[in-house]
Amino acid sequence: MNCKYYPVLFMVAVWVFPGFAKSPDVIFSRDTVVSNNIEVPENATYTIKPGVTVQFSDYCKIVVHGLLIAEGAGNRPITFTCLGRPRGSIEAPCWYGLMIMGKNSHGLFRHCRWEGAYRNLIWESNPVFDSCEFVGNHCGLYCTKKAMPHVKGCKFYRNVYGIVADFANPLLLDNVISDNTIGVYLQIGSQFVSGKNIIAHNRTDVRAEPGLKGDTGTSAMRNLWELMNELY
Amino acid sequence: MRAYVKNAALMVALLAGAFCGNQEPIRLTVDFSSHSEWRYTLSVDMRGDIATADALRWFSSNARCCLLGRPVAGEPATLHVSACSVSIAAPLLSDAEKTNLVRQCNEAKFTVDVGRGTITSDDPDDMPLVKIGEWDLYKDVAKVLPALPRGRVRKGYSWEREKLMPLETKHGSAVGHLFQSFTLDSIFSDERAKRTAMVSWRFTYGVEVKSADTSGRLSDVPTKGSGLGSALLNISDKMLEKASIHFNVPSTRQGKITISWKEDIELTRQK
Repeated sequence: MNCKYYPVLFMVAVWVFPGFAKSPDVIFSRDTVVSNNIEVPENATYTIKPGVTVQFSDYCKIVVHGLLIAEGAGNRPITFTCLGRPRGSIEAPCWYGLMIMGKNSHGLFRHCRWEGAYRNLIWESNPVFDSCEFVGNHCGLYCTKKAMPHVKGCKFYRNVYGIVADFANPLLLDNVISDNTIGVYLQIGSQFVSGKNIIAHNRTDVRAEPGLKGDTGTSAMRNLWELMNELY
Repeated sequence: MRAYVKNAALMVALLAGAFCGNQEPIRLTVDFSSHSEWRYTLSVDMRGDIATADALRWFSSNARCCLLGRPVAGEPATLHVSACSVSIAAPLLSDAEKTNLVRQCNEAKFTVDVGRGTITSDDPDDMPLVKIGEWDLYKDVAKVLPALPRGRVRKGYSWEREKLMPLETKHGSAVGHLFQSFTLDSIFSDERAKRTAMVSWRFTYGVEVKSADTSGRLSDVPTKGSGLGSALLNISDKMLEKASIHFNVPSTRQGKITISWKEDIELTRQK
């Protein structure tokens, strides 16, 4: 193709794919101590380089409305934890966690390690977690509002909840979920689309709540209480 | 006889004074600039029950905290607020969940415009977040604040406010419709001759489900409620002394389930 058309093609690409010409907005290329929430705005891309450790000094969170890319390597993982928290600790959560919020948000996480978070929340989004570790969190991954994260080759251990699906359908393949209080917790209206996973040696491997209709058990009550809190 | 006439004259004078005082139009304003720090306590109680054909269960939660406010320069009715001394009791939540709530609320910082009855987060990242099973401190403060009229008003004057609030739940999106009707009920003087206005309001709140909810959960809960609110405004010192609301979603049968829900929220100035 004649080179004179390249600028035109570029303009069309930018118009059709707004993120086409966009360089990463923020890059974390060295270890970072964070004392405020980190927000990835809609249409922005934040990138974390291999080997970086992100430590939270306060009870903060990472909120993703745009795109967060954290691709570590086998020998240079990316770690999200708290300042001063011993590796592998099962102490109480010391930071809130990751929040990937909404249809327009996305995340790509490879060789990442999540420690000491209260909850890593996936809301109506389909991020990818590949070869990651979730250790000593209250909730390793909490998937809700039809979220369908792709969780592949990850390890979940020493969490209170390994994975929670709450009205969501996570895709689980080749994961090891062990040594958690509850390995996989399926709340009402949820299921996981599963390939080969090892879900064993948890206090409860898989807990599935029954349907709501006519049920006045604690889970159903809690679900209604949460919904009323959200609406009123 | 002379004493009787004297007492009667005094009574007439007092009544006339009170009557004239009430007829004088007043401006309901708040001005926080006289102090560098203001302290309020907020208490929130929620309770409800759920009934099926053969069972009845109740649930409740309550939260208390202090709100520390610092005036905003150039905006006398506005405070920068941070929460402190948060305590939460909710039998449905685990200890870890309660601890998480307390830690989140203790980090909360927001701006309250008492004149307009509005609230905004100081952390731009924070407001659009969805809360799951969490205490929404912002929402509860917003619920209890009255909207004040702009001009001078007399006893008996009424004004209204209507608001639409987008709601996000994990089962779909909805819109909350709030309608408030305020009345200046009375103006009186306390023992130190400080004039105080009492404002009351009635409000209705309805939820309109916007997106299709494949789980059917949004059709399990009632979508209408109403309530009463009241506030005491110190007119002499231009401050909000106290505000409270009572909100009730009456027992409503939705399919096989009947749910009722009540909220009491109170905001009180600490002297």
